Amino acid sequence: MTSYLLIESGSDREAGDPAGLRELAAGLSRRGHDVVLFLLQNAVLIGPAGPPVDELLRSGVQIWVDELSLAARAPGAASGPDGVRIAGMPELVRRLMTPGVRPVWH
Amino acid sequence: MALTGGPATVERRLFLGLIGTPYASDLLTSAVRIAEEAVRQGHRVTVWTCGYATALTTAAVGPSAPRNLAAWDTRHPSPAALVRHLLAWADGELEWLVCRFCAEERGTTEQLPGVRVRPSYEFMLRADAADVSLVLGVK
Repeated sequence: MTSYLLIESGSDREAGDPAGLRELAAGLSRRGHDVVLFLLQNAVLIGPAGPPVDELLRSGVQIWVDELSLAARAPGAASGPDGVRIAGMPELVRRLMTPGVRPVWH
Repeated sequence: MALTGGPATVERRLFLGLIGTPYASDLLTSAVRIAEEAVRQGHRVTVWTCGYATALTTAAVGPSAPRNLAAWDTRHPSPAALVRHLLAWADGELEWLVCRFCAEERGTTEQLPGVRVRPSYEFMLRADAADVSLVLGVK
């Protein structure tokens, strides 16, 4: 089993392929890997592209949402859907610097 | 940005590549937040800028960002001031490097004191030497 930290920085409306990263996260998790999908910057405005949040959670993906990015874009949204964790830089960096974790920025 | 000390952990080396157009998104903010937190957690950080990210720390950049007409009395630090502050706070645990090839191409070789211009081949050397490498940007 490999541990991954997939950091998504863009929303569905921007260039890139956030849906592809979410599909990758779900696929890795279904194959038994330990996957954290960290939503940062505009990615906190997660949209309909790709697997929906509940499907990602069912597949075992841990979804972390950056607190500061969320506060800047959705004031008052102190929490996300059940199973989604509001996190900050301390949690992101601890995961990033953990030996064996493979990080990907997207 | 709160710059205070924190508990030390097993020191590892983090390489952050900052590529592309930093003002198109919150890319710089994210890079600085990650770098600051990594130093706070006891790690050593190298930030390597390529492309127009090399312009963030040019010597000609003033201490404040242009003021917002709608909030004229509010001042925000410029990216250069932010990096200068971060370098001073990190006290040697963070280095901010600029790709010479990208800087020469864009006329940004005159950099702030403490920011070093390095040959482009060092990108791979430094990324490979780090325990963790993360490239933020468009490439």
